[in-house]
Amino acid sequence: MSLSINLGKLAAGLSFPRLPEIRVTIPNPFVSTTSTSNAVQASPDLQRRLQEYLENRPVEESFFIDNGLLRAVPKKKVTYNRKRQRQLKPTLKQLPYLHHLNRCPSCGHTKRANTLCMHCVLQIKNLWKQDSKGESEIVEQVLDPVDKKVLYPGKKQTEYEKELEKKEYVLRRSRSLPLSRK
Amino acid sequence: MGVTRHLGRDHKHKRALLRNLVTALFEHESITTTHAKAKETQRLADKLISLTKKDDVELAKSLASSEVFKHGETLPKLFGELKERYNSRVGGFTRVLRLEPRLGDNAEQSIVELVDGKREMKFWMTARIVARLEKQGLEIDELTKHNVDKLVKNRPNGTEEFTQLVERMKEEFYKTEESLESLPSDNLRSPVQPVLKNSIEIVPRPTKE
Repeated sequence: MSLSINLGKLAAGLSFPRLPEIRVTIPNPFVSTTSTSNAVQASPDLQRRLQEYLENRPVEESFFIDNGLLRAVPKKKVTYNRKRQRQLKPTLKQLPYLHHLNRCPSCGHTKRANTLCMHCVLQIKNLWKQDSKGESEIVEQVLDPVDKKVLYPGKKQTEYEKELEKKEYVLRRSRSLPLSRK
Repeated sequence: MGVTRHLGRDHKHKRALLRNLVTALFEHESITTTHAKAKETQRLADKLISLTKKDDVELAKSLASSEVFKHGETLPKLFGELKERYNSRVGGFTRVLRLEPRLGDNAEQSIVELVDGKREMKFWMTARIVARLEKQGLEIDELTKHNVDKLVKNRPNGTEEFTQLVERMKEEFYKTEESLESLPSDNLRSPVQPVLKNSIEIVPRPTKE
């Protein structure tokens, strides 16, 4: 009598239905070794190597590999000719090179020629905002956090609402690079 | 007159749009829109300001009132403050400055601003450049000097205001030593020598006789 164990399934610890990778017969410790003579046994060296491999596998195995399911794939290979035609045709699919680049005279970073540096423009606009704040006398009152808790108890934000408050969905302009990289 | 842009609207819609934009421009003195809209707004704003120079004020006011909204605020400003400000100018009351394309739809953006206004981006940017040069102990290059002269020339108390702004810019942006690190160490010199139009005089249009 022999006990066959699907080693691949054991190592991954998954309950997904999957085809066995390799079947190795391991002798049952509760039965005497003499009765396993009929079963086909892998050599002990192979078993050891397999065990070692399964323990030290570099990447955790994906569910999609070798599970017996087939996924959608292109029907035919795209030929070299077709691929190059697609990539090199004169459309806007390619990103154009920017040759008209300059240096911003106030911050020293790269900018497009004949345009203002957006970083400096936004900084100056912020100054304008600060100045106009002083002009209008309406000051927005902010509740004290302790008062807020007393007035609005039991309001609990979900994870989703907390994420929304970070406003990560707003596009933000990244700053251009300085001219000399260190 | 050149051909105007349609801006993807019918005539009435376009006119209402430009009316809105011009009203906003007179109210805030500087607005940011797409480049095409900016150029059309500039055209209308220049026309309206030159209307204020007419002798028949009543007629001019009635003409202007059909091109702007918020009559109670815009018209007094146009025929009072702005008329006085541009008394010595023949044209060129507005300026369009190009910006980086807009995030999202990549449309060309521009700033339209009233020259010698309270929110003149070119004035502030030039002040920032001068502040940087002074902070680094560098000589002010020819092009910047030329720009400063032009900006200060027709502005009342222009030089005083400019020097004050330069001091403010030093405080705001070039206070720490770290802020001076990535700046250009020598004067910015373009490979092409700029041709400065100091020598060209603007000849006023001949009057009808």
